Amino acid sequence: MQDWGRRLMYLDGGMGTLLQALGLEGGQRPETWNERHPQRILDIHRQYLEAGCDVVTANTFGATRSHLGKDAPRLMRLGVRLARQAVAQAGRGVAAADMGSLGRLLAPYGDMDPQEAYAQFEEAFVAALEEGAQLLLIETMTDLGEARLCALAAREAMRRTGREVKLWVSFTFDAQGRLLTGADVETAACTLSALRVDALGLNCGLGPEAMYDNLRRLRAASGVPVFIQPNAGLPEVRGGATVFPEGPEAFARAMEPMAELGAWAVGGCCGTTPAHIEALVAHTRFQRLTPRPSPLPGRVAGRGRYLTLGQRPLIIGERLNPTGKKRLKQALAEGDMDYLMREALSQIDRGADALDINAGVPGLDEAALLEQAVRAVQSVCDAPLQLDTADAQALEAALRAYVGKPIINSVCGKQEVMDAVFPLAARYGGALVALTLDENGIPPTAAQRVAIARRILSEASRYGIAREDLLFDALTMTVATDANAARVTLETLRALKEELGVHTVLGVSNVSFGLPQRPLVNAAFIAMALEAGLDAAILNPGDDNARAAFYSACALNGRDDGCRRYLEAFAGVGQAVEPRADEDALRSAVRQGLPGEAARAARALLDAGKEPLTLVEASVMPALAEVGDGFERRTLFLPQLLQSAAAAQAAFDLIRAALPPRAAREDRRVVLATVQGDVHDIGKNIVKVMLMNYGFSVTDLGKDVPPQRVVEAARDTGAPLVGLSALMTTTVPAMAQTIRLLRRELPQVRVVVGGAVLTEAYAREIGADFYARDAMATVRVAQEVLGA
Amino acid sequence: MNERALFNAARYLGLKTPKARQENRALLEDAYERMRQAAQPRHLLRRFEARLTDGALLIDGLPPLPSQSLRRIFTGAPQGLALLATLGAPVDFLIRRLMVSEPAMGAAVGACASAYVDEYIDGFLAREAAALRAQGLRLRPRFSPGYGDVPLSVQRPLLEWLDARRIGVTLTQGFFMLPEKSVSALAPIVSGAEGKEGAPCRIGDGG
Repeated sequence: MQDWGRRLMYLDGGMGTLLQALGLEGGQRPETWNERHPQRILDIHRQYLEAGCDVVTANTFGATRSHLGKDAPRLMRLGVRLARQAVAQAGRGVAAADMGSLGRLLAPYGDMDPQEAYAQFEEAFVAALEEGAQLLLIETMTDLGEARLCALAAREAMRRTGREVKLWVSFTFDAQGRLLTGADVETAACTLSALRVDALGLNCGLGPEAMYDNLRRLRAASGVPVFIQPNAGLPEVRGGATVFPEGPEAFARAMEPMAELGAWAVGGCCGTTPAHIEALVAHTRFQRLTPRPSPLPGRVAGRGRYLTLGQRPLIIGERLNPTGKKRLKQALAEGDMDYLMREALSQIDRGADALDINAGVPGLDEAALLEQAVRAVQSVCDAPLQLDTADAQALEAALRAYVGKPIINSVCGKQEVMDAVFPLAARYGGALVALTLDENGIPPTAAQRVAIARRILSEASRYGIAREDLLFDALTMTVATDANAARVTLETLRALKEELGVHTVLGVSNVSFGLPQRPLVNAAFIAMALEAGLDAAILNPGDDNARAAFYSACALNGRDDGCRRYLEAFAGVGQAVEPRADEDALRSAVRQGLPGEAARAARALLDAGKEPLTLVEASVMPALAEVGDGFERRTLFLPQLLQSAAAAQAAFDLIRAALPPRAAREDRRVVLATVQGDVHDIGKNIVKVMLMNYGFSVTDLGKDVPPQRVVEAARDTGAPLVGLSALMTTTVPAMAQTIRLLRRELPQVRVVVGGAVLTEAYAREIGADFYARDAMATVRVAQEVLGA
Repeated sequence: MNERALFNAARYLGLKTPKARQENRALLEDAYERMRQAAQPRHLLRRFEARLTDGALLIDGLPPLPSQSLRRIFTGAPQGLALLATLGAPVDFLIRRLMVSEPAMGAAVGACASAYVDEYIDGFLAREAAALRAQGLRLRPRFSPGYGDVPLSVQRPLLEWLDARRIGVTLTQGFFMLPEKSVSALAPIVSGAEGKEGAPCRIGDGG
């Protein structure tokens, strides 16, 4: 790789295309030819090297257990050995181990356990490195989460084998620059650049011309060199088979602009042959490289979008932190991830750019819980998260589970903390909140806090962490106990900006602790902090005063072009009407399916001192009963039923938070699952929404659930009722098997079944106690078994 | 949203009467628009020579597909068309998100997506059928794995043969397609330009 960055380098072209021409049959794995026809593989490598390519890619694209079972490591070794042999015979070139997708989607979207995926990749890379691979090439990635996991596994394999080689990662985007799973070029680049890959690339899916724009965007967003391997044009179906139409000359001509667009290495993918590479070399060999890409501004990314730090002030939602939030603590203790997901989406709807997430509840396993919470929130929310924990083990678990590049909250000037956190940030990628305190506590002056910031900067650079990836927290203290507290914080903000030019962050709410009318104090402080140079405010987006202050101050400070964000937040918003403490209003809001109004009415009633349980019994349940009756009489329909359920949920969230802990303990529990082999869960989710809003507590096991897990959950929770769903005839046997196991292990448990293919008679035949034709019918069954 | 799409989406949502459809029209139209914003419809087609044995359909490159259902619908069909269509992962994400924040909208988007994937397939199959008619051939209704006696396990070789990864469709261990709003099917091609074509026998969709 000594020419890397000095001249345009050449990757090889298609492997599958050539193997098919040599007789590889459909359904036969190409990697098996490393053993069966090694000479043919060797010959293909030789042809590519003779054509002028610098990097030959071993025939190991699918050399993982998902594709090859226990043969995978052996076939990986054989593949790498052949590539190395070809390089040795040619006396030039680099042998790359090739790695593609496992072919299954990772949970929570698919059924592939991320830990198993990581283990498979790591095993494959260890085999490749032990066999002497000189470069690890991860390619044709269409899922950001899998690409990140794969790159992390590659790094771990290097650490385990003691062999450091280059790591290149290549994605397949569509012509609009989107992965098949939704992330765009910039988000993917941000995520993988944070893992310090050596180059990022584009391959497959498109021909050269259709990749120009994506290449330009990738180079602008990567901060590392880029490479490209297009197909030989867009595939066409001829005579029933897929063919790639561009011949070597046309392909090579279309590739000519790539170096100018920033590629440091070029090659081909599907449909390209040694002749394509030979033509490519002939057309481009005298081209000059663009300079090494500049380091990127600080960026963070979620599953589907990214943010540039310092570009405009950001709101980081603070509501997913259980400190002082009884309802969230309860949800975490019960594993009620639905509540976290609702809170997350509600903050995003209220303008949060990123979300702080903390799972620290005394007595609970923070590492397991934070990982679970991160996965749950990311399954519905594509914005960046801020992983908030002081526990290094919990941080690492969350970093491993995260998709994107998170913000880590936090590091500080204490050596012990920096020693624990910076290595994790360097390994997993991430921006960091850096608290300006150290072993001596919180300094009383701005100058001392800035001095700590300098030390943190210096230490971070030792780990290769750029200053652009640090958000310095000037520390908000309470004005009620120290009249100078806010002034020092604001001075620190200014000094951090003026002296160090770094990004800044503040949690704002502390400033008003102990004072009446806290939202007013917070709002004034937010405006002042933004004026002093605040880049990111950690606040409650549900606090209208805070939002108003934030957006107004941004607009007034010239940090909101055309008042765009202000207008987005407030255009069309009228004067808020003070809600009445009126039970009829709550009942009516639930009946009409108006979640916002239901929440406001419930809040007003609770503030007026109404008993929480009275609200449930006098307002929420009668309204739900009315809607349920309407549904059964066919005067109302599923959407109305669900809208009412959502309104009831909004009221319940507030009511449950107001209940004393003992009263909140659930004893009307139902376990729900979509049976093994079935991934259709919309029907089951509708049932869950309905049950929860009729006051039942639901343990939702998700979809594709093995029988044993259903039994374990029913046993662990003591639930007297289990609900099973299946959509297709092919999965009904799994339902019958689950019922048989429940009968044997927990004969007292009753079972209700539902799903498109089931009937009353069929339900009886497979041993269910009840058949429910829809969600409302399931509620009636639950009321019969557990009481209304 | 045209009337047919509205009708089909409403049917998937369990709204069977004109009154039910009318009362939920605004919701369905909003859901349809949101779904269309998220959808990235893609498809793959592959034409094949069809041969029949006593109990199976034979397609070059695939293991024998043992099924009386397939045998019946491919009788007299020397060729066929395999298809795979998907609305893409962002639709799954949207439905999942809405089921948490706005369940009624989530259910409506799910129903609209199921209707839309049919609409999308009908669109490209109509073009294929027109091209076949010009050759004196006719495309008969499609049939999906998982229905009749065609086991879902057929999905594994079928999707590999179609190179499903190119449009981002994967299988779970239980042979279900992800993204969920995906459809795979086989359609016979027969001689003669007259007769029924296009509409599915049953749709093996993920909805």
